Amino acid sequence: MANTQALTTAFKVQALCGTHALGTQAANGVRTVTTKDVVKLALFLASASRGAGDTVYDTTGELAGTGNYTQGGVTLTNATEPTNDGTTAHWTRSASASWTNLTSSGAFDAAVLYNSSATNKNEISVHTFSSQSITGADFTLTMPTNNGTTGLIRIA
Amino acid sequence: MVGAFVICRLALDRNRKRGGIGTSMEILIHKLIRNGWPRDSEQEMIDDSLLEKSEGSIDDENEYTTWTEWRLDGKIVKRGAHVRLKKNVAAEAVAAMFS
Repeated sequence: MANTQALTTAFKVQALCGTHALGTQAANGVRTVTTKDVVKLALFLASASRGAGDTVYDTTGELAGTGNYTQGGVTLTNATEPTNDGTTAHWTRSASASWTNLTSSGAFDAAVLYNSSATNKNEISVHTFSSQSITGADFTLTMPTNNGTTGLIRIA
Repeated sequence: MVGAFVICRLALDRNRKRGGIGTSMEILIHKLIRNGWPRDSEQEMIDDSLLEKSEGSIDDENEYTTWTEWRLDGKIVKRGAHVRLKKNVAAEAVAAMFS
């Protein structure tokens, strides 16, 4: 069992269905999106197995709600609209996620991004990194540079 | 002298098992407890010169991560990290050709 970095397959389908609003858009004759969805980021244990096959956020394998961690994760500041860089569309949340004075319930190596506004808490992506255990200190997760090469989510 | 916030209950318990106050460690910890803080609080101020501090980093195609940890008698009592992701997740969009 291991976590695997991926854009979930479910998200790709839902992108075609208009399930997610990571940004706003002008009226297109059918619908106007003026309110962006709330996107959250949650931390998962190294022993979990999150990946492309996930469909919705759940607490299976998530850090326990102890040591200043709240299950469900943190809300991400999303001030940057999706855009394009050449022929590649990309989106990156506009601020880091951080936990203050955290004591993790175990070693963790993945962050799951999900749409908290959606009734089913649709999972968007899984991002992996080196295994970390935090004891009574801060943990910060900084996103990559928002462009067509390194943006958090890209559609090329 | 004040140092980092650390979980020092282990040190206190260990010293109590040895017969209570008597080691310089426990005396120092008690001296550094903040005014008004309960003595059994898990977080207290101790002199960080008692701690072994180490730092490290990982820099690869996926991330640049730094961490700092403090050990007391070999046990980690405080550890923080900063992960900077480099690698995105991408989907390839394909428009099929009519044939």
